Amino acid sequence: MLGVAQRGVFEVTYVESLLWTLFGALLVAACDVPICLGIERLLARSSRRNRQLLWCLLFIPLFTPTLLTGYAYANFSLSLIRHTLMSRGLYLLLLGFKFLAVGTLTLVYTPPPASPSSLHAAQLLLPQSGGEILWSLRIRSFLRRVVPCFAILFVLVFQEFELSSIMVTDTWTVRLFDEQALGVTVAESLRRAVVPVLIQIGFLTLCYSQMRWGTRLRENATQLLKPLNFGSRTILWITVLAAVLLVTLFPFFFVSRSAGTGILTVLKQKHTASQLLVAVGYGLSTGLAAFFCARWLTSNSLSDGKTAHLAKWLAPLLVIPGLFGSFLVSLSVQSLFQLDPLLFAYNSVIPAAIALFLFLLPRAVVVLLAMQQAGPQEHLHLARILPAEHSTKGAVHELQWRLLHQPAWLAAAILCLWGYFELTPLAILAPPGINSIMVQLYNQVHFGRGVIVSGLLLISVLVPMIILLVVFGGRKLFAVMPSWFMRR
Amino acid sequence: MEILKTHRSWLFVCPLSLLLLSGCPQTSEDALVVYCSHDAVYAQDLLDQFTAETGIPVAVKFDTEATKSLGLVNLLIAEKENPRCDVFWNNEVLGTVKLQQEGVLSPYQGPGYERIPEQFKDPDGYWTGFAARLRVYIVNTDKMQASEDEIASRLEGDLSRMAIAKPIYGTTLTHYSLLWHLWGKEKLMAWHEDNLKRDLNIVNGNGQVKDLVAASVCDFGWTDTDDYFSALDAGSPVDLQPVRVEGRTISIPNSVAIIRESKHQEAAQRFVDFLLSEQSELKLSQSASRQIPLGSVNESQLPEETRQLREWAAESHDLRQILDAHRECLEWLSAEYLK
Repeated sequence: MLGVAQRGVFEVTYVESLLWTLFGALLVAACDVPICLGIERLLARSSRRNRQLLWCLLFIPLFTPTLLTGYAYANFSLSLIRHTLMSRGLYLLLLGFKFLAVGTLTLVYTPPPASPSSLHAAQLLLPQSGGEILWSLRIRSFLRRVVPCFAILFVLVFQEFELSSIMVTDTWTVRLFDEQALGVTVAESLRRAVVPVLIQIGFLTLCYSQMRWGTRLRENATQLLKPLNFGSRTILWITVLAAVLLVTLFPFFFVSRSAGTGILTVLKQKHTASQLLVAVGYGLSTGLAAFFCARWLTSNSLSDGKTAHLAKWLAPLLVIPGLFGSFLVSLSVQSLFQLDPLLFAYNSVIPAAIALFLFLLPRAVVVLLAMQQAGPQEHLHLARILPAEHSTKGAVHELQWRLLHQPAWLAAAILCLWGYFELTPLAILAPPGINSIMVQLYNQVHFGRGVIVSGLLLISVLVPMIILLVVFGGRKLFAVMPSWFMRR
Repeated sequence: MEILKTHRSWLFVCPLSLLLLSGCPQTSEDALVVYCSHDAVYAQDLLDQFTAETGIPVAVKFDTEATKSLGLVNLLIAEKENPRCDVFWNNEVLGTVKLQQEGVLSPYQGPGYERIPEQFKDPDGYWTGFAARLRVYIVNTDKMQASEDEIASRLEGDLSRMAIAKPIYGTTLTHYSLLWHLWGKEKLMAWHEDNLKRDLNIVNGNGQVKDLVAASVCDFGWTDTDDYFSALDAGSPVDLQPVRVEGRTISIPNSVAIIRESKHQEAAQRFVDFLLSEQSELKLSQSASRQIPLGSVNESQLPEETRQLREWAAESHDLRQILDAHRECLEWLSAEYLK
């Protein structure tokens, strides 16, 4: 009964939820792709400073915790209870804005479009059927760039759970969660999840087939993109600013209003520190584990070495479970650790860590493959062999850091952040006494307790930011200090 | 690709972080393991107080609000053969009774059990109720009067300004189960169908019903007293009337039970007695959720609002009689929901 507003327990079946989610994900991907294509052109023609600003603005919504955004809009979304399409529209708009950075990144790291000179060459070489070939080349070149972007955006929206849960939007992921509460077995839930997983695998395969990961981003590739007129540039800047405003700034302002009292209340609770430690510990360990595993998988499956065969077999086995979503992965791990051979580890931190690791792994692979394209290998090689003489030691180290180490640290930091903010594996699998601040936060959001939620949210966002600042800032300080002492 | 070659030393950080986590003191073998579906903010105070008074460390696993205690009930059933939990503190009764039927619980009748009225405990001591909530109509006073007559008149007509939670879990499931018990299957299903035709709003939880009424999106709805007080304390224009079915109210206590094969029987019994004590019931009644004490307490220490609720709770239905109805009602709802 697609098109009828969702009301009540009995009016939307699982299949209808699935169709709604499918339709929403297709819509978001279809709307985001042209915007991302525009942003890519905007980036190509912007000054270095503007490019940095634009990337920064794109990444802010992406790394805004979903709980923060969801909490800010939960009541408004609820007030649209009689206007389901509007409520769903708001949910999709927020997701569309949030994932603009991912879409743009995907476009930047896919092969460049066919250049005018290559099209001309094709026309000259094949004068008889030049028109057809020209169009075929154009279409194939366009599809090769657009399909991966569309597919990745689709999968991200299709898999979403937290925002839809908080904003009371009916999706297949929320539906499976509710069904578990009704006592549905894990096996039955997995069976019901097969269709959505196959849909995701289909889109990812399409993405992989169109995306030539081996092709590197060339410096001159961006020159092929046509410049934008003033109106288009203005609209794109407004879109990016609107994304930051709606996904990050407004929720942050909403939460900060009562955060002063909230932080004091939360800090008085003696378990806050240990709950933060749990979230940081899980985020750090599983984020890094996913990083190293993805590193091994990608480097070996792309090489011709001895381990390539093993890596090619292991990659789908390890990566596909994460596509089922963290909820089903957690339930499956729980069932697994109830079996006799693994029972000894059930009451430990291991099951939750494994579930979180499996959930992060597909993301880790995508992040690493994207970073792999980040620059010409010649630069890296030169940086590696650069002699660090006494007078230039600081500058050489800085250059080596930027080219050789910073991408790896960034990739790991992104994965650790995702692990830190993930709720479900810890809610289901963490042993008694190990309570994450995210679980605490999620409960408070559901109870709708403004002051405490505000305090908890602000603390939980600030802590990883401070850790990142200390890690990256501390490194910089460490690099600067020797030259500072030299000058004295 | 350099990114794939550097920072081997990070390999040490992953196991190190895991070691850090597993070293947390709460996971020690001596700790009493409590699964708790009561709101963590209020429960944690009592758990800390128990540890302070007895020296027994407690390792607690809280439920996520979204699964409305059924998450922990299902987990305890899954762990039945290899239990790690010692005590289950549930924020309602029917899930605990399900555990009793599944053979997950062991009986205990200590001093705490003795002070709770018959109506709120299992005759064999498999579980004991305490500190209840009441099912109420939450009413937006800017939109209508919180009187029995006004509510009755609204219930006769269009329900597009009324909200209830999904009846598939939580206290709304208990509410529906009671209606099933009193009215029978046919009448409840027809009534539900009729309500939907009259545009009744069904949302995810009682907290959302409260939010809708507090924000004037709806005029009234079903919720629990703890949600009502949360809106009242936030300054919303709300009032309440107890829900009465065939003249009696619906009081839903917390319940506590010891898990069969608990490794810490003595500590578990001490914890159960502690929770069922007058001191704990008073503390929960003085918290923001204003739980209603079921055993005898020093009335002078009760907050004003809780005294009125206590009188209404004394007129409530005996939920022990609706266990079969609960199972049948849940089967019907599950079948409908899982289509």
